[in-house]
Amino acid sequence: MAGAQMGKDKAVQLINDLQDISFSKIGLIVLVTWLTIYLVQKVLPFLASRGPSQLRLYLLGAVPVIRLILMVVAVLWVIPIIFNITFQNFLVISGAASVAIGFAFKDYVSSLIAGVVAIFERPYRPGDWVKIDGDYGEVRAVGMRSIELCTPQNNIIYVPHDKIWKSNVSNSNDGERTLMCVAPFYLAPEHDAQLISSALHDVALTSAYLHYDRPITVVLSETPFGTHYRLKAFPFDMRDQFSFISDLTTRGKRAIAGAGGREVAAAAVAGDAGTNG
Amino acid sequence: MPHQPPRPVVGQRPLVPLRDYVAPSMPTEHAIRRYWRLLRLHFKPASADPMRVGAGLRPATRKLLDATAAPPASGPLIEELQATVEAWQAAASPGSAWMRAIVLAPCDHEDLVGAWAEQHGHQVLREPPRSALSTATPQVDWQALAGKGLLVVPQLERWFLRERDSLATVRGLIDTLSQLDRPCIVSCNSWAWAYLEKVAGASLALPSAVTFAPFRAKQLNAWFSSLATRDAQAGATLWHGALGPQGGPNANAGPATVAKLRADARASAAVDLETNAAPGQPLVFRLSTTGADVLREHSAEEADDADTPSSSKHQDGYLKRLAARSLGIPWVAWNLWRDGLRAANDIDQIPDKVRDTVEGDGHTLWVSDLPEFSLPARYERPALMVAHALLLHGGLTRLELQQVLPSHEQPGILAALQRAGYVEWCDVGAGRMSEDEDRGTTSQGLQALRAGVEAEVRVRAPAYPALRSALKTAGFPIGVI
Repeated sequence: MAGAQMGKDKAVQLINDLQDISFSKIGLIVLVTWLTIYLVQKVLPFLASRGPSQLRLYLLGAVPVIRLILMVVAVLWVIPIIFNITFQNFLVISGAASVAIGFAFKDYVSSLIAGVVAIFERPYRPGDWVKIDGDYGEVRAVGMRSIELCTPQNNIIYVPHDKIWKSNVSNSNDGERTLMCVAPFYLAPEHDAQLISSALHDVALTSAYLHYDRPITVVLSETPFGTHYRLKAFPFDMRDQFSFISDLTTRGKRAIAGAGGREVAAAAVAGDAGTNG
Repeated sequence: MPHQPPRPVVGQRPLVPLRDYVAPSMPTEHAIRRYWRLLRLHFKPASADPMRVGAGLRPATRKLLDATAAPPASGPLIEELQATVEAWQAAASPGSAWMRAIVLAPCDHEDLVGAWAEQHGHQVLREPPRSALSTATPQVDWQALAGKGLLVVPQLERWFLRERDSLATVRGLIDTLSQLDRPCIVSCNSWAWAYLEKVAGASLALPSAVTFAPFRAKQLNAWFSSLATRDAQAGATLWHGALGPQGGPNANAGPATVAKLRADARASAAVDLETNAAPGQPLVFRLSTTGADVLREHSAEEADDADTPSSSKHQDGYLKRLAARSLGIPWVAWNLWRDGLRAANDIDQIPDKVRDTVEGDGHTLWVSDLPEFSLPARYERPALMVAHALLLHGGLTRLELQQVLPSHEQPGILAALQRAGYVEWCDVGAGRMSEDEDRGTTSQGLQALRAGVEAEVRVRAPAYPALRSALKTAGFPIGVI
C-alpha cells in the first residue's frame, strides 16, 4: 500500500526537485555541445575549402550529421537531469508537447523533422547544387530548420527543410564532384549540321575546365527559332561550372562562325539561358 | 666514403606497363613530418623558400655541380631504353611492323627518346612548329613515314595545342601511325597521353603503353655514387677552384654548355692528377642537418627494407625520401639532388655536431633538406591553370599560353610562378636560356624578349612533384606519372 502511494507520488512529480537538478552540469553540457558544434561548423568547411577536392563533399556533408548526433546526445543527457522519467510522465510530456506543436510550432517542427529526414535521405548535402521552387544555387549549409542556398548572383536564400514534403528537389551533382553543364546555341537552319556538331565537340574537348572521364555530347533539335544545339560536358570541378559554360559559349560562337553557321537573334528563349543540368 | 671502384649504375631493367607504375612511397615518419611542415607553411608561406641555403653553406657553383652530378638528367635510362628496344626487335620477326608507345613523366627537357634515337641512328619524325598546327597544311615531313627501319616519333605532347584548330595534326599522325607498315616508337609525356586518350583515342591506336620503372633509393644511390666517383677528381679540382682563395664563390664560374663543362672538368682533373691533387680522396656527400653520409655503401637488402637499422637510417632516409618525393622520376630526383648540394662558405657556422663528422673526409659537399614549394597566395587557381597547360604541352610560349587558357586568366601569374621556383624560361630548341647561380631571380622571359628570341616557359623538374600534388588536390585531370 505504501509502495503504491510512493509510486503514485513519483509519477505525479514531473520535474525533479530543484535542489536535485544540477544546473551547472546542464550548463556545462549545453556549453560543450554548442562549442563543439560551432567548431565543427567552422573547421570542417575550412578543411573542405583547403583540402583535397575529393574530400570536400564528405567533409561538408559530415557537418549536419555530427551536429545531429551531438544534439541528440546532449538532449538525452539533459532530460534525465531535469525530468523524472517514468512511463506516465513520458505520456504526459509527449501529450503536452503534441498540443503545443500542433497549435503553435507545427511548421517549425515539421522543418526540424524534415531536416532529420534530409540527413538520412540526402536529397541535398552541403556543396551540392540544387534547384528548389525555382531557386538554383549551391547548398552552403544545412541547418536544423533550413538550408542556405547561395545563388549564382551571390544571393543567400534560406529554404526550410519542409519543402521536401511538397516540392521537387532538383540536384545537379547529387554528391559528386562534377555536374553536367549545357551551353545552348540557336542557329539559322541552313548549315552543315555535322560540321557544326564536330566543331562544338572539339570546343568542349579543348576547354581548360574539361573533366576527361565524362562524356561530351552535342544534341540538336529543330525549333521554331532555328536549330537548337546543346553542348553538354562536365567540368572537373563543379565550382567552375559558370566559367566552363562561358568558355564553351565564347569559343563555341567562334567555332560556329568558322564552320559556316549563323546564330539567330530570336533565340532568347526563357528557360534555356544559362541552363544547367 | 671509403675508396671503392665504380659500381654499375643500375641494372638494366625492362620497361613496365604504364598502368603498373607505382611511385616509391615516403617512409611514414617522414611523411608525417612533411605534412606537419606543409601545414606550417600553409599558415606561414613566407618561410617557404625553395632555395633555402642553411647556415654556413652556399649553393654549389654550376661547375662543381656538373663535375659531381653531371648531366644528363635522365642518367642511365638511355641504356635501359636501348636494351629494351633490342629485346623488342629480337622478339619481332624481321621486316615486320610493330608499334610501341613510351609514356614518360613530364619535365623531360632533354628529350630522352629523341636523343636516344639520334644517338643510335634511327629515323626521327620531329613535330612541326606549333604556329603551323592550326594551318591546313602543317609542315610535317610525312615522307619520313614511308621509309624502312625503326621510326621514332618523340615528344607527342609537342604535336598539338589544346585549341580547337590545332588537334587535326596529332589526330592525323596517330591515325597514320596505327596503320604504319614498319616498326615505330612513339614517346609522349603522361599528361599529354591522358589528354590524347580523350581527344585522339591514343590508347586505342597505340595500345600497351610502357614506361620506365621507377627509380628507388637503391637506383639513386648507385647512380649518384657513379657520378660522384666518375668525376670525383674533377670535382676535387673544381672544389678548390670554385671556392677561390678565401673560400668565396668563384666569380669566373659563369654559365656554359654542359659538354664544355664536362670537358673542362675532366681536363682540369687530368692536369691535377698529374700534378698535386690528392688522389684517392673522393667527395663525400653529407646531410647538412645530421652529417650523415648520404651515399655510403650499403647492401641492397638495406636499401629496400623499410625498417632499416638505425646505423644507416639517415643515409637511407634521405634517398628514400628523395625517391618518394621525385615520384621515382630520375630527372626530377637528379634536379632535386643538384639543387640540394651546398658548399661550406664558413665552416665555423656549421653546428659542431655536424662539423665533427667531416673528419677524415677528402672533400665534403653538403646536402640540404628537400625544398618545399608554395603557390602564389590568393592566386592558386589561376597559377594551377597555367601549370596544367604547361605540363600538358611540355612548355609553351607566352602567345601559345594565351591560346590554350581562358581569356580572363590573371596576368602576372607567370612571373609569380617563376619567382616561386615552379617555372623557367628557355629558348625554343636550345635548352635553358640562362642558368646562372641566382636561379629564379632574373627575368629570363624579359631577356628573351630583349634578345628577340621566342621564349618558352616550362615547369622546372624539381617543382613537378609539388605541382602535381597541388593539381591533384584541386581536382585537375593529371597524368599517371
